[in-house]
Amino acid sequence: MTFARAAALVVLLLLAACSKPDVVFDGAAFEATGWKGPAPAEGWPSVFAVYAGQGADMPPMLGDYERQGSRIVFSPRFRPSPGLRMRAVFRPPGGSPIERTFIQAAAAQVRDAAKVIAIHPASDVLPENQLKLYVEFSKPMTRGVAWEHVRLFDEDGREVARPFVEIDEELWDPEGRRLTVLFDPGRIKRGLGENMESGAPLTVGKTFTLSVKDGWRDADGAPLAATVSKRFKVGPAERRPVTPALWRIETPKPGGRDPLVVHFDRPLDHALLQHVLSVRRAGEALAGSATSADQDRRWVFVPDRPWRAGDHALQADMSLEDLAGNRIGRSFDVDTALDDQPKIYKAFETLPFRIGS
Amino acid sequence: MRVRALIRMTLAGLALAAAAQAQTEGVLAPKSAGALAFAPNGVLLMGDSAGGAVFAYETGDRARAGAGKVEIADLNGKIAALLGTTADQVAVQDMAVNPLSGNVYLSVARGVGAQAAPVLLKADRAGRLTEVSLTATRHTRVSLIDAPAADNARLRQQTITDIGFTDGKVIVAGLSNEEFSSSLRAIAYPFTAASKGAGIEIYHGQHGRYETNSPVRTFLAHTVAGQPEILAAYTCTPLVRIPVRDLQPGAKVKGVTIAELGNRNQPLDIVAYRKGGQDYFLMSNSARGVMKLTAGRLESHAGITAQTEKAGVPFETIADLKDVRQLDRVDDANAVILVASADGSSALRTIGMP
Repeated sequence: MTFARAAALVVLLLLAACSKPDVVFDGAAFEATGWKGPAPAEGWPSVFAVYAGQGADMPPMLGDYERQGSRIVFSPRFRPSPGLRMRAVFRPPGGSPIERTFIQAAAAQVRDAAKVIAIHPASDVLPENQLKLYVEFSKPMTRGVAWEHVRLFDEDGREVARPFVEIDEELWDPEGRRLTVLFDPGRIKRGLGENMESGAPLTVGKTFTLSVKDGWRDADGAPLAATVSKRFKVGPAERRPVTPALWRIETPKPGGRDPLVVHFDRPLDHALLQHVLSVRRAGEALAGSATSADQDRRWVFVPDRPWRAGDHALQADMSLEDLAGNRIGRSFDVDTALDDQPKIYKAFETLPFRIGS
Repeated sequence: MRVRALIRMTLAGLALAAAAQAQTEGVLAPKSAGALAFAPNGVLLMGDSAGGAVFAYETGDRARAGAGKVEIADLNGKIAALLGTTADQVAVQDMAVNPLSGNVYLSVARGVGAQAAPVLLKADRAGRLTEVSLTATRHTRVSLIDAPAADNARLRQQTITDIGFTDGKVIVAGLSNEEFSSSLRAIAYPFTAASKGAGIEIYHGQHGRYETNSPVRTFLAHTVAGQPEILAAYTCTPLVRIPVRDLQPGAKVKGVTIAELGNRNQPLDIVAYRKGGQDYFLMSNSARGVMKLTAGRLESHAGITAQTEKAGVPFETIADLKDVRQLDRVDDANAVILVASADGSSALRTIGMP
């Protein structure tokens, strides 16, 4: 055979191979080669479909089709998940159907699994009518499994049955790193059937343990390495409204940027405390950074610019709560028989103070 | 000086008007797909908790879609196959049946974290699952956020737990992840720039003595003696009636308790139906199965006020309906349920109203 003939044969073989129908996958899209003729009357899904599920009646994957000559490109609606096993079926005209199996690449091994970084309230004594808890994680978590992993145990190690409101949707922050857990208000609220039958979930004088169970996967799939617990003792119920008049404001000197510290008469709700207070001068909020301290018994504000002497005010949003859900001027459950709490219709409480003489 | 100020004001006014316009043109895609409910004419309302908004989709699905009964086995498996993932990576958020067509709509999260992709699917009466585009389907949107969150308030989120339509208004029930308060809103539909519907505080009076803030979890919008009302379930147990005319922006409203449902339980869905000339409610619960309540002459119930009284609207538990996670009515004769089993699989089934 001459070189020219051999080359021609190779080219012919290559051409034959190129036009042989096949399906390939590049991790994002599937490509079927070897289509001839017009588009099928019933649409591309009737001749080229990808199945991710096992079983005869599984629907094909959703996606878009594009024809490029003899190639049909199928772009799935969503990039197939790592490790997903898929079966592509292509029916070229006048040929037998081709089936190819693909397995999507596995995800890169996740190094750092999520950890519980805090449980609020930080205090190790909680009131009998504690309303909510916050669990903070270092990474976004898988949603939908909270109630399998957050549990309460009494001092004998027995699990307390359903102490929390198991809200289907779960209450997370926008990033999915902080879970809000509500004690069942049906059992905390006085005068309600549940409270009278089963009592509050916590008992004064006893110790309880809140547990966040290991194995809870973060959004990358890595499991919480260890169960994290918070032990706490239960003190008497807190039924007094939050009373700003009982707060003590430690005023800094003018001219500097020393912190302003507000001392509360009791710990307040950690989440709300981060943003419901502000310092105002002539009606304008001062720019600065604020944090809570001492297990949410104090609020510390450092202004961006030096303090000026004169009248200022501490403004508190009426949504501020203490650990039992009591708000400014209004208890969590108001005993209307005593009729001692007038309805409050303002948005803020304001405490004036002076800086300097 | 005055002219400059006037020009500034005019420009500001124009900018505001433009911003308001954009809000109602539905140019933004939802960040999450949550609570679903139908308004008239095949308009599907959807709560977007992550985006703090409510969407109204014109599905165009207005004709009765045959008489088939929706039955889909291994629902999560099939949804996962459609979306290129595994069954443990999809979660049905809510389900609503279009009363005009009988087709079932499902809001789905694809993925398990806060960044899960929102998807809207339709299960037709032949059992086929198709996607309803959240961007291409004609829609309008209203934002529920009064003001953008300050930096130090960026962890706040309202989770929309239920949505409904009555008396020309969209009713939205939400729960904050920080304040223990109700946030019920009544928003005029079609949405206008000004129609956020300021928060309405709902109070619950326990046996006429203790009064507390009470978030509404689930509700049914219906008519009692010709008046639009909502039948609402709180995070604590009672079932209450609230007239829709009381749901004014900024109002503080107390519902009338008509039933105490028992402890450690969350009502999930409530539907109304008529059978044998009587009115009933069918309610699915997180821990107490499905209950059938006798609704007839609701206005005759004075409400539970005495401390010792436990009676209210009579109800019975339907023994053979277990693990019902979603419920909606098709018509007076049938309902569609989503049933979850212990092995993690789920199914969509049509049942006769009990």
